[in-house]
Amino acid sequence: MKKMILWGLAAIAASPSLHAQELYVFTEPASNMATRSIGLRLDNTVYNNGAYRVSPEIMWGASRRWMVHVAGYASDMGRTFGPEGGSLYAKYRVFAHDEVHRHFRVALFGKVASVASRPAYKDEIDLSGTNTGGQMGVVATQLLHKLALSGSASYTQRWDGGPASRQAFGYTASAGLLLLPRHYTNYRQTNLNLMCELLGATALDKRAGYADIAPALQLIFHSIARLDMGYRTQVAGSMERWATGGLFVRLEYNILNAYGSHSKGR
Amino acid sequence: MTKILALALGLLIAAAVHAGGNASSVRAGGTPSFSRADLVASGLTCSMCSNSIYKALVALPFVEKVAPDVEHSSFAIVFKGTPDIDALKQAVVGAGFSVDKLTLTISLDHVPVRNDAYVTLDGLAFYFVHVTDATLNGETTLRVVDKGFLPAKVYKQYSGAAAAKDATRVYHVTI
Repeated sequence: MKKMILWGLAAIAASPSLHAQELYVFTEPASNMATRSIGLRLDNTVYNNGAYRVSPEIMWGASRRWMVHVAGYASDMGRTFGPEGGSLYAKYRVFAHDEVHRHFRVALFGKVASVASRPAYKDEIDLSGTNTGGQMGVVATQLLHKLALSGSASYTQRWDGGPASRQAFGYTASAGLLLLPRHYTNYRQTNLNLMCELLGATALDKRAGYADIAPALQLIFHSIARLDMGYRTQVAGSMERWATGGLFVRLEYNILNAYGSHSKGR
Repeated sequence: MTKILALALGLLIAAAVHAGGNASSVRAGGTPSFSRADLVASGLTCSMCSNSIYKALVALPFVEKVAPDVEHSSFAIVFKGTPDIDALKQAVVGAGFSVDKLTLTISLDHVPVRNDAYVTLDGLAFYFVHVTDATLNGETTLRVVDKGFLPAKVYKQYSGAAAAKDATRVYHVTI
């Protein structure tokens, strides 16, 4: 575990692809990472109930339209710290309209997650280490120079045992603002982005729901490495949950043109 | 006799290699070649996005170097061989963005061009649109006006021009 964190810290040195303002911390934008690029992430969450979860993740820009994430999860939510399971996420960009310093994009996404059998007694469906299930949704993102706005809607189904809710409608709204640098001169400048996200879900098979607010700061180094720090907290709702928020820290490193050549086009 | 022929052939090859190796704007046989391009990308603001385009451009085999202007999402590209113009666009598209403007620079020696007519430059076929008949001399900048090389609204201005119909790739350009 400690080794993983150390490795992640070491990796922070460098990771690029999208538009920093829409590289949201708690959600994905409609844009994809660059074709033939590979991203490495190490997500750490300290929940407000004291539990800790770590998630290494590999991201792959398969084409200009497709990107894929594979993630693993480990936490101390059981009696001891140990692996929980993994997930596969894919995103397909269906629409893009670009102008100088602007764009509007729409993408479809899907996720499947499998974790070691653990009956669910809490109604929140969490496909990032807690539950086995599937999700699909749509996300739209608008970039307006230094501001990026994004919204998503999704349907999530839980497949593991237990009496808790099995279906949920999820929604997110995200805003990101590029604060620094004021003017770009080179790729070595550190970028500072301020993010604020609304994350909500409503159970479809019982009366329960929640809405969280999640502000975050993001630093980007050498136009290639990324450090995200966010805090998620519940502002509304009565759903039974494992935790109602927590502190989140992500380290990310991207390798552009990780393989192959661009000379033959897509 | 065979030896003389072999020697002559060897000298010819050596001369061709020499001519190709020391010229940046004129390659073997005196054919003018494209020296550089200026590309403006759209759909991005931040330096991470610009960097992803930069990395895709410098990886192209015919690109010598790229000077990025992060603030304006533009890239000054120097060539080291005949450019694959579609590959330039594809590098930008593959990074997740679009080409807003692409201009190519070539040094010409009294090359006549007419509107709605072909000219072969650096081994590539160009179809000139929206130009007045002229003789091009000296450093000349051509703007590529094919679909995907400029905003859709601007492309409409050119899409009505006579379409080049050819088995090989023909680039529509204007001055």
